[in-house]
Amino acid sequence: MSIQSQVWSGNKKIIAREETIINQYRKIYNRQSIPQDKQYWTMCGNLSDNNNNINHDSEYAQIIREGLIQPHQFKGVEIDETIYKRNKQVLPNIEIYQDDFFKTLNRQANQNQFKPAIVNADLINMPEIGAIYISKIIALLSMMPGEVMLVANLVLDSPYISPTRKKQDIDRFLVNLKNQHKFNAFKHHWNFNNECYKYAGNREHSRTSMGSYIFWK
Amino acid sequence: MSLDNVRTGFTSNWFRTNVDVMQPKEIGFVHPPRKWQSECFETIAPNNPISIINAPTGSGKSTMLSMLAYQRTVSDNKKKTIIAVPQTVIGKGFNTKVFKLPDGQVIDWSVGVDLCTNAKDTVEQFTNFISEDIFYSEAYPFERILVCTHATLVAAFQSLSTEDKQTHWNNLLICVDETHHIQMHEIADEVYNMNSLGQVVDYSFRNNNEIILVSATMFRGDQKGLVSDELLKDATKYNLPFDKYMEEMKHLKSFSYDFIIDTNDYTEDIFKCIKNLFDENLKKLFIYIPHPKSYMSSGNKIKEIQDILEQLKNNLNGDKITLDENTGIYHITNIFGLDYKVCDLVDENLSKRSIKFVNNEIINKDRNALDCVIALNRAKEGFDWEHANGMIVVGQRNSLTDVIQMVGRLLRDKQGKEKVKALHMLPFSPNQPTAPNLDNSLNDFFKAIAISLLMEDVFAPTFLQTNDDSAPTGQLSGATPSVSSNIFDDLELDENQRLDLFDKAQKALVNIAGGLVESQGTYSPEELKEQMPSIMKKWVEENKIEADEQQIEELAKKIYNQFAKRSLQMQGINVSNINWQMIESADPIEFTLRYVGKDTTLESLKELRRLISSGESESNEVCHKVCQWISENKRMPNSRSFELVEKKYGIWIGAQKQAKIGKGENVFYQSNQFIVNSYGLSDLFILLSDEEKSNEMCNQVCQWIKDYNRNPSKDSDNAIEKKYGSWVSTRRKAKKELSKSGNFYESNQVIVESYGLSDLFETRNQEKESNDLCVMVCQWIIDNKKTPSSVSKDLVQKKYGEWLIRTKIAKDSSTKCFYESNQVIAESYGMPNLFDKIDYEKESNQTCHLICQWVIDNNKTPSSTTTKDSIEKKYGTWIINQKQMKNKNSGFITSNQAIAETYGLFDLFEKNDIESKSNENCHLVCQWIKSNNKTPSKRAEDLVEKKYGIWLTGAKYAKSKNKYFYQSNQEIANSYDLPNLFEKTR
Repeated sequence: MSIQSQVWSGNKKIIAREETIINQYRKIYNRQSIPQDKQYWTMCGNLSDNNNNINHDSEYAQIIREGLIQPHQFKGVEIDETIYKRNKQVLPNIEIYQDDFFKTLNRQANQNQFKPAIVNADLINMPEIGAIYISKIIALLSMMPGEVMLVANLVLDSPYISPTRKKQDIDRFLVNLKNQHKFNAFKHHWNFNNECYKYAGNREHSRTSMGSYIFWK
Repeated sequence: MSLDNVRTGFTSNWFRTNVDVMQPKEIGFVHPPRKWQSECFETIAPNNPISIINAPTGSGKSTMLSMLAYQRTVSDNKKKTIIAVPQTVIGKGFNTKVFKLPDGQVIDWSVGVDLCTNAKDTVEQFTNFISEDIFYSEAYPFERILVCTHATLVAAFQSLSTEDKQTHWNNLLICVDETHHIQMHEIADEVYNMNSLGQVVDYSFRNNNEIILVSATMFRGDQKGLVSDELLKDATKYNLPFDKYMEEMKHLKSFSYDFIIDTNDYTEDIFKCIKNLFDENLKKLFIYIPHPKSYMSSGNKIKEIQDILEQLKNNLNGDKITLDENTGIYHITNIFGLDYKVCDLVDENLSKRSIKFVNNEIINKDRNALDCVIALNRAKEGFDWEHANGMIVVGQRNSLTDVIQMVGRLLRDKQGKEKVKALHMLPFSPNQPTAPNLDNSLNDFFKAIAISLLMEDVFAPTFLQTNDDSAPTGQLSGATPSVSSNIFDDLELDENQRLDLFDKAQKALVNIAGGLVESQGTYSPEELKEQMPSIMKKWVEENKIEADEQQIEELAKKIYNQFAKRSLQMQGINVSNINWQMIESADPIEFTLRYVGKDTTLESLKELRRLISSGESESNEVCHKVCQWISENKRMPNSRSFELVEKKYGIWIGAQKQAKIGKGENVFYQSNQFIVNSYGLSDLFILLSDEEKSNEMCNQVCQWIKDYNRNPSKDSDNAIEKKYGSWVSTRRKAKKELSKSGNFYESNQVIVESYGLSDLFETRNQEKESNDLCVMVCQWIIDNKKTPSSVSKDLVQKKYGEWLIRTKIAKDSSTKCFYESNQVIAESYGMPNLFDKIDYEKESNQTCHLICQWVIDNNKTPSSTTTKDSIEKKYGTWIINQKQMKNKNSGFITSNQAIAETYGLFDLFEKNDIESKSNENCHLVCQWIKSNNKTPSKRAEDLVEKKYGIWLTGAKYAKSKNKYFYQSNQEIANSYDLPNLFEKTR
């Protein structure tokens, strides 16, 4: 199976990561790197290139190159078995898990192994489902001690959705999130700056809108 | 844009939003719990692993359950709570809500896993829920609360392996809403017959999980137990009787329940019911239509809905009915601004939209949002429409529980709602076996409803039985009566004539019943039965059927018995002795029969409670005496003792055992069970497993004896009779040898006495009995100059004939008992060959030869009915019998066919083709219509027209009921360009 590694490591995505993860973390906590005993958790996607080497535009390569984390602080979760295996092949010493993202975080928490500084929830969901998923992550992260930054990345609009739902915008996710009982029960732990980083999908003429929301505590 | 731009701050992708997600959620004012909710919380909340709550519909049970579920889940951060409801629509009520605990704490409730809203892969979601540990749930109890349907609970439980159950089915709180769906019926000591839900509850109980059971109707209508005695013993109970709840109500002051009995199409009569409610300004209606298979249904529920809409429109002076395609709601409107909104939950094409509509809170918030709900099985338990104030229930329903659930829809306290009323439409029935008259029977039924609202577990369940197919026993047929009767064949009535006869007889009976009620206030079944021969005679004459008096009598009996099967009888009713009259017969002009319920108020309910209590205290007194007697005598009292007190106590215990399982005439009071427990006699009222089985058999045997008017023989060739005969024989033996074997049950004796068969188990001198009968048979033969026939319609002859056959078989058999003394008797009458077997085939062949010769000589087949020549009649009857035997492939002697063929009478034993005959009639009627340019009237003076009119009425009726209507007739009518010939005209 051919893996389109270009999709999530293109220029727009690199810029988005720079803006929403690296710059935001440094600005919020006034710190260049995450603490040594903390972890960087992400829905990592494919980290290799077509020659089975580390993709230098990938999230892993970018944030280490930028000095935000050390390699051992990177914790990747990928649900697709093929991508997971390729990631393990090119990065055999890095902790990568094959499972649902939330389930993995929850399991790690139950095993007392979960020490997040940054959680990058790079979802492919629309705002309705995304709000439910993010509220679960927020509830879980609320129980973790110390500083945590959550990057909630969602599909705001897609060429594949029905015309009636075409009018997605940045408010949609927040309106849905506001109706999540779980979010309301835990939101007092969190900060949010009422901003969304909106960008087009990675292909050159992509009609997909993506949005990133930053919550921190 | 390059990365460098980003690093230097040149970005334009950030957008601000005005949605303030971080603003705290506003909850607003929250009502404190109701008085009973606080009481119940205080009773149940503190560490009671098994709890049972019984409270009326509309009293706030769901919130009560949520309060308890929250309290239990918070108190143990590892506990998971499952709330199971019968339908998804009820589960949605548990999704989110805000309530206050008695200590003033406001709870913003939201279940973590709602499988009623998210009903996809429910079993998988359920098993994930009980097996997964969600880290944050310790701080967020709602994550440990799941709502699902009973079905999902059962399916998920069944999907787990034994190991998985051991691992995960613990530290759960299982809350079962509408608990009456559980069934745990004790069939032996600590052995229960459980439904699937019962099995889940039982397993949960045995594995130390916590359980909360909640219902408005704690007993089941089908007389099955709800939960095991062990569970009941461990349970903390809270019961909110309806009268106590009514005291807390601010607005609702009374409710009433009327019964309407009629024979017309219910969609016509419902006009008057609607008017009746509208006249009392009760315009927010529930209308429950009958099941399509039930007697009162036309079978076409969609058409029934349309007819009901028309009747609503007529009552409202509406101009038109329009359907809002978006909401699935009908609007009845007129130019004066009327907009009456009807929700049809029956039509599957609309129900998805209409259910969505009625699930919306708007129907309670806005009084004008909805005016009427028409439903079949929906909109009962858990359905919440606070404004409803009138109800029409059509036909018999599944159980008393079902009826109470429907009534419960009306009993919601709402401003402006002081009175509610239900009208129950039932099919006409001529008799009521267990009640002296119909109004008493109906009063008992209403009493049972009221009592069930008042009491937790005092009364055995009951239900009103008609010939409705949807009735729980399923034993009575709602179909048109069986048409295989001999008398129908003897009179050669075709299908349409039979239906016409049935229809006419019913209408005549209804008129007579109405007249009797008008003149004397009531009537007895016997009075109606007496009228049957004259009704039959009239019909026979009108239809020019030749029938003698005996045949008319037989026809009357046949038809009446079919009606009698529709009895409005109470089964397991235990309330007759309570003198609380709330239903009385009323002016029957408006309907055929009408029974009006008085207003049931708080005061009348209190009076009912007082009456029940007084009966209970008397019963308690006897119970104490019985227990003291047992303690003093160290044995059980014998119901056949010569000592009157002992006999009385023995009988009383037997009756209590019956009452406990909902049988017999007595009330079983739970307080008596407590009394016997205090004497260490907890098993006193428990029927042993064998005893219960024996009692069941006893009831069957008694019923058989009643039906056949004789005792069953253990030597019978009929397997059932043989079984019953053998059973009676062993019981007699057991009773005779009571002191030795001790396996005769007194409860059997109680049962046979209730059937008036008190001597059934007395041992007889069978030889003497047989000799007596032998003398009577011999004398009969001498008097009648023939041997008695076992198939005679004369009951005495039939009985003698059957005895003779059995005795002949016994003589011929080496294994059966033949008394030589009978042979001596027969010889003394000069009948030494009386018990010798006859070569039936030879005899039958001889008759066949005679008849064939008669047919050849007379050039016609002999008639069994239209001749006065006794020989012809005899031959005609013989041929009919042979035809029937051939047709049923039972007992026909094939050599007779060969004989007939030697005479060239190949069709002698072929049945008439009724369909062909009917087709012939159809052609004649169509030709008549074409010639006369009108449809024939059954009331015409011209006999041909009248005959055709009657035939057409019968055919229309057959088509409307979709029974015995020949499609070939429709095709014939079409060929005459009369496609609507068989459509019913209004």
